[in-house]
Amino acid sequence: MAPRKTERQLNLVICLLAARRFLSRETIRSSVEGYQGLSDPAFQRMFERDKDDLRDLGIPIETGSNDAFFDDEPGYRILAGDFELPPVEFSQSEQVALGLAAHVFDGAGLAPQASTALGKLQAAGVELGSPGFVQAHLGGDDENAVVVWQALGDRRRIRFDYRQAGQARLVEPWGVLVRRGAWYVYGNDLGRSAPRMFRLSRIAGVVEALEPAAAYELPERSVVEAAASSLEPTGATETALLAIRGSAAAGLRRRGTQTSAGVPEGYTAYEVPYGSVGELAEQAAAAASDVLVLSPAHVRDATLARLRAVAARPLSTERA
Amino acid sequence: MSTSADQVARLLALIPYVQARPGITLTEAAAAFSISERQLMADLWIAFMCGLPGGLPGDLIEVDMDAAEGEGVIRLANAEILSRPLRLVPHEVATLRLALQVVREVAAPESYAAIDSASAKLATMSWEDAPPAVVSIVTGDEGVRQSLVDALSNGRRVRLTYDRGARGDTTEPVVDPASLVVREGYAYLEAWSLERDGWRSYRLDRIVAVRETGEATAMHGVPPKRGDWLADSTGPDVTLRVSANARWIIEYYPVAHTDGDLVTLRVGDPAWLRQLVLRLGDEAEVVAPVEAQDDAVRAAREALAQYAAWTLDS
Repeated sequence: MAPRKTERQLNLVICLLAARRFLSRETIRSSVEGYQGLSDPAFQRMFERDKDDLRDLGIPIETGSNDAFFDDEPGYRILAGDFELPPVEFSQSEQVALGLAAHVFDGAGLAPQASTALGKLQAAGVELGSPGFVQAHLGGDDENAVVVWQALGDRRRIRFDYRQAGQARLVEPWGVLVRRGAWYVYGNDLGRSAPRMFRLSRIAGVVEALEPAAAYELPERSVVEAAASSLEPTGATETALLAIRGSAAAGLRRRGTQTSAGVPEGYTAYEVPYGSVGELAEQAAAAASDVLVLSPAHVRDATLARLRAVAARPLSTERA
Repeated sequence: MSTSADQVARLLALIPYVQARPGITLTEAAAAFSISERQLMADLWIAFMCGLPGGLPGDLIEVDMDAAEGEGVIRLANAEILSRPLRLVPHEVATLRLALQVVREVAAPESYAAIDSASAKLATMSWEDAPPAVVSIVTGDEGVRQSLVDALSNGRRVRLTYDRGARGDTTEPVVDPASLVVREGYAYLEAWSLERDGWRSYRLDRIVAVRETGEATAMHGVPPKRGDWLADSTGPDVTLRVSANARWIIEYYPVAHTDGDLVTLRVGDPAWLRQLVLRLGDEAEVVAPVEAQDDAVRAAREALAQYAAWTLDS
C-alpha cells in the first residue's frame, strides 16, 4: 500500500479535472501535493509514471496547448465530459442480474476489477439487486487467469512455459474459455504458426504480457466458439448394447433405450449411444458388474482390459 | 494491477458513491465495493487528505472521520468535482459481461431477458467489443432450473428424482431447497434433506425431475459454505502411482500432494475411489494404504465372473 502515491495521483486527477485550461508541468508541480521538494529529474520521472498509471485506469488525460499560435510547452487537462460515466439506467431485474454478477469473482483475481466496475455503476445511481438464493462463482483465482484476460482485452502477445520450464510459447490470445472451472486460452501460437489451446493450470510459472497493446487483430468470435465446442464430448455416433443391473448406472440408462435382447437374470438390456469408446469403457468399468458390455466387441474389450488390470492386483489379505 | 492503482480506481467511484448517499454506513459502503471496513477507513483517510490545489481547508474534501470511526457513518462533502464516477474501461465491461455469462448458466430461463439486456447495456458503455469468452458450466436443464427457482421463490418443499454419482442409482429425496450455487464449474442445489436431517448438495445435471410436495419449507438456517473442496473431503489420503496418460486426475480431483508419479488424493467416499480405480485400469494403482484398493479389486473380479458366465458374442 502506498497511501502517498494514491493521494498524489488522486490530487493530480482533481487538479486536472478542475483546470479550465491546459496546465503546464510547472503549474502542476507547484499545485499538487507530493510533487514539491523534488529535484527536476525526480519530478519528471514521477509525473510520467503517474500519467501512465492514470491512463492505464482509463482516465483521459489530454495533452495540448492553450495557444495554437505559439509552440509553447504542452499542457495537460481532463475534460469532465470524457471522464464522467454518462447517465445509466438499469431495470430492477437487470439490477438483480448485476447483483448476482457482483459475486462471481469473489476471492478470485478478477474481483477488484469487477468490484470497481460495479462501484462505478453504483456511484451513478445503480442499486445492485439482492443475490437472493443464487450464487454463481467462477474460480480463476490463478494469477495467470488475470494476466491472460487483461492481455486478451489489450490484444497483447503473451509468453509462457507450457507443461515444463524452458518450452517458451509465444501466443496471440484470441479468446478465453472457462470449462468446468478450468481456464483455457485459445490463440495463435506464433512458434508453430497455428492456433492452439492451452490450459492455464498446465502453464509452468507466470504468463508475461508483452508490449505493445493492439499487436494483432482478433478473428471472428465464431472461431473461438468452434474451438470451445471441440473441448466438449463428441456427439454420439455409435450404439452399444449394455446389460444394466436393477436401478444402477442411472446416467447410462437415461441416455439409452430399453430393448428386449437376452441378458442375465436381474439385468435389463439397453441400447446406449456413445461418442468415444474410451469414455464408455470407463463408465462401464466403473460400474463393474452392474453394467456388462455385450457389444460392440471393441468397447467390451476396452472395458475388460480395465477390469482385468485391476482384478490381477492382490487384495491386501493376499499380499505376502 | 497494483494495490495503489486499485485504490485510485476505487476512490474515483467511492467518492461519488458516498456523496450520493449522505449518512450511509461503513458496513453498507464496504459491502457495495466488496472491501473490508478497515480498507474503507483507509480509503476515507486518503480522501480526507485530498482536494483542489491550494490545500486550504476550503479546498479539501471534507470527511467526518469522527463520525466514521465513532458511529460508523460516512459524511463526505466538498467534492463536487468528483460527483460522477469515472467511465468504465473496456476491461471492466468485459469482466462484468463474463460474470453475467456465468450467472446465465445457473439462472432460470425467465431471467435470461434481464441478464441479456443488462449485458447489452454494458456493451454500449465500452468503445471496444468485449474479447471472446466462452463459459461452460455443468448445469441442469432449463426445466429443472425453472422448477427449482420457483420452489425457492415460493418456499416450497420438493421431491427430487436424483441420479447419485458414486453409486449410479436413482433416489427420490424430499428436500427444502436453500440455494443454487456454481462452484468449480458445476451447478448445485443446496438443500436440507428430510431423510438425512442435514444439508446436502445435489448436482443440477443429475436432478432428473422436481415435484412440489404441496408443503412449505421449514426453517433450517443457512447451508454451510462449501468453498474449499479440499476442506470438504474429510476422508483419508490415498496415494496412487499414476501413468502419464492419467496425470489429468491431478487437475480434476482434490489432490493433497504429488511426488513424481505418486499422487495423493483426499478420498471422501470409498465408492468414488473404487470407481476411479476401475476407470483408470492399468493407468493407476493404489500404493498406500493398499487395502484402499480392495473394494475395486473385488468389484473387478466379480464383474469378470459375470462376463465369464454370460459370454454373449455379438
